[in-house]
Amino acid sequence: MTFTTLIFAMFLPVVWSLYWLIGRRRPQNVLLLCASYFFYGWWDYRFCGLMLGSSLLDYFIGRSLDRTDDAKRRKALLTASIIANVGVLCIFKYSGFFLDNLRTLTESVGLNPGDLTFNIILPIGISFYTFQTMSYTIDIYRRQLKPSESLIDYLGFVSFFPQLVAGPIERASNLLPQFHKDRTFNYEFAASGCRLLLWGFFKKLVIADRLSLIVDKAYAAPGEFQGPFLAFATVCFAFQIYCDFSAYSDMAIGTARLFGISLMRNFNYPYLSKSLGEFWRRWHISLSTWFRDYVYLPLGGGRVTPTRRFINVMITFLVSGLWHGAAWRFIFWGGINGAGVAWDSQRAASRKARGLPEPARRSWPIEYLSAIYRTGVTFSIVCLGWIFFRADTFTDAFVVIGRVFADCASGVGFAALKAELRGDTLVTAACLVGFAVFEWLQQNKECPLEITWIPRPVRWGIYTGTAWASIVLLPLLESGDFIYFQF
Amino acid sequence: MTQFLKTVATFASIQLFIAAVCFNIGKTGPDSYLGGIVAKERRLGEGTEPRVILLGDSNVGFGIQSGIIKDRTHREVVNFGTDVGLGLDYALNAVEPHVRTGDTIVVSYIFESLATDLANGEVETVTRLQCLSPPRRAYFGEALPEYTSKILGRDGLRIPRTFARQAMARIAIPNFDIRTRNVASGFVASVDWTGHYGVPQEPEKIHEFCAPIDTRILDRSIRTLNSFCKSCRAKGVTVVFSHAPTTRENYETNGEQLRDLHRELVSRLEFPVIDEPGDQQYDRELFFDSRNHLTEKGGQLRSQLVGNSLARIVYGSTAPRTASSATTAN
Repeated sequence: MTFTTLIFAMFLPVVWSLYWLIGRRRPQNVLLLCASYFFYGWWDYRFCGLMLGSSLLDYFIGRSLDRTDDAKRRKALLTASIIANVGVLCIFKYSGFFLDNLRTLTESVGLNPGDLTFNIILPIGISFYTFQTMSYTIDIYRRQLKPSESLIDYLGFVSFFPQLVAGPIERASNLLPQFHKDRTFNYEFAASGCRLLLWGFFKKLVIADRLSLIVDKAYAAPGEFQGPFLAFATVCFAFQIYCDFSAYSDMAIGTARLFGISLMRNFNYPYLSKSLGEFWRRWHISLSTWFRDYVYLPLGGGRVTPTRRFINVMITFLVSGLWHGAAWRFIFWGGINGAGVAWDSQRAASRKARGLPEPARRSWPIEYLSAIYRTGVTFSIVCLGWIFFRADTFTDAFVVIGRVFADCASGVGFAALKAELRGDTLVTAACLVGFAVFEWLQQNKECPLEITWIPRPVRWGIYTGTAWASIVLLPLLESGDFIYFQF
Repeated sequence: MTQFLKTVATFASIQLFIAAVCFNIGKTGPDSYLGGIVAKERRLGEGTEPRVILLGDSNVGFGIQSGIIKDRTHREVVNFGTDVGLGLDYALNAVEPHVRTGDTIVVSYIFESLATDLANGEVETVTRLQCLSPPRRAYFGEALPEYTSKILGRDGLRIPRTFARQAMARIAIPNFDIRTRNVASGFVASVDWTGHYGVPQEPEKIHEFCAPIDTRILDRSIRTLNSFCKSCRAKGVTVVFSHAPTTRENYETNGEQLRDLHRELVSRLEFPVIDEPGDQQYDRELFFDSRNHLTEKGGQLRSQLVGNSLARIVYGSTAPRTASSATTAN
């Protein structure tokens, strides 16, 4: 079940009404747990068992960790938890990737590997809830968190349906205490949740799904298109993935607020970043901070030698790339971003080490132009990375890059791009520009639809327009689920 | 909480009001191609003599001329070619209660109606059908679970989208209905649509594409057709299958797939297939807007071909048609 389906439109009001009718914490948590498993099982009920097993394992390991002070035993318990969780991920997500590489390797040395296939369905959201349960045990191991006394509360925390399938990857320290205490209905909080739901709905259906038609066309056979169109399609993909994923996060946060539960912010207008480091502080914040806390900092973080810091950043981003997908393209994408972030942090560290002062403040036009320039450069690097993320193969990615640079430099293909920009494509491009301008204007707000200063009739007119635009501009062709479901 | 509920209820009421306005402006009129179903159903109930019923999707509505079939068979003809988006079961279930002893039914569905998801019906078309004036019920048969899961999923949003877009088009574009293919200008007494050819498409824009055969859907389609045939036979009705027309280019590109489908139909259908997909290939210039809708001239050629086969069936010989007559007709 996803947020943009009719079944969810029926499911949410039923669960919401029951939830507030019940009014008491324990039965509410039981309801949330049942609703969450129903939500997950709607996709494939067989994988509910996997999620339950993974959750129970970490619950009991968490309790054992809390009960013992024996360092060796604690380490063994933590290791068992990590091996079990990563093992499940390896089996369901990476086994095909590992076997493919093993086959290539054995064939390259002249051996016949035989039939090395392992067809298995990737359980939806596995990367998200696995990371969530891992953070729970690690936090208990670090004595930063007390284990949950209530199994129901804990299972509810792991499977909480708004964020179960595609995040935000919540920390137990933020979400679990909310399951432990009574929730009261707050009008403003719920209203902000509705705004987030509406904005997410619009972003997914109008922007992301429409852009996907252009992107899919270009990336299905990049060799058939010229550079300018491929560049346009790449920019479209940058916005498609942003709108698709941030829409899911917005709807997850909005839905949670209707139940009086606060989830962490996952996106903060990332394309307005002026450096790659800043981009990663604004993009998929829950995952970035997860990798920071559980990979980068344990490796030594930034308080090490420059070389070691570079290695730490690279390891973190390469693992992050692998998390996104079981293919070398994703690892390479992680590498590009890692190199960019490492270079950024190296520059900052070196300036600090040499005791150089912060650059003097310049006049506002220069400051403004400089900001635009840095934002543009950052966006271009991000787009370069997205090419590897989106292309089906490395060859396709290099074809795109080659054509973009060669054709754009020689001025070839702009007429073809102009010819493409008509009909539905033009409508999509117009929607994209309007969306980007609106987000830029509202960048200081958590949700761009926070326009409470506008008189209610006008405000409701805007909300109504957004809702109907989402329906009327829904693309004719069927588009897929949320992109991040596959991760 | 009360304030929140009041706000939500007010906002929802506004949206429902807008939806109702869209529905009223955007609903399908009786003079459209889809609205023609009302007349088609009425024709099915008329008369007492045995008839020839042409049953299928728009390849029938826009491709067989009842006049020619009537000349060949000397029987009244009812063209029950409907919109492909209604799915396979709709026309079969709509026709079945009205058949009578001595009727001959020619079933003709395009490849996609039999072997791809189109067999389950499209949300937009089914929605427009159900909100016709007077309303029509969509028959789903075994396709109901697939259709329901479509509606419960993302496709459910296509229901309001259908009305909203149609309403906007009606408001924004003068004579919107006349500009669409679905207008009733070609609607003739026998409920063919062959007099109307919409806005002709340039031949090179008639694309050649066949989606892969979905064996699960094809199995169900064959079951549905056999079940239809069984109940028709019980009433003394003859049922035959005829392939939909296609361009020579499509046959060249996807001939193997079309022949695979033919083999499946011949071996598993419990009624005869009167031609082969290769017999129903025509020059691209004989199609007006898609590779399933023939022009008037194309319709004549196809009708002669089908009419010859039907004449043999109606007048006693059930031998399948020969390739030579197809060549003559083409």
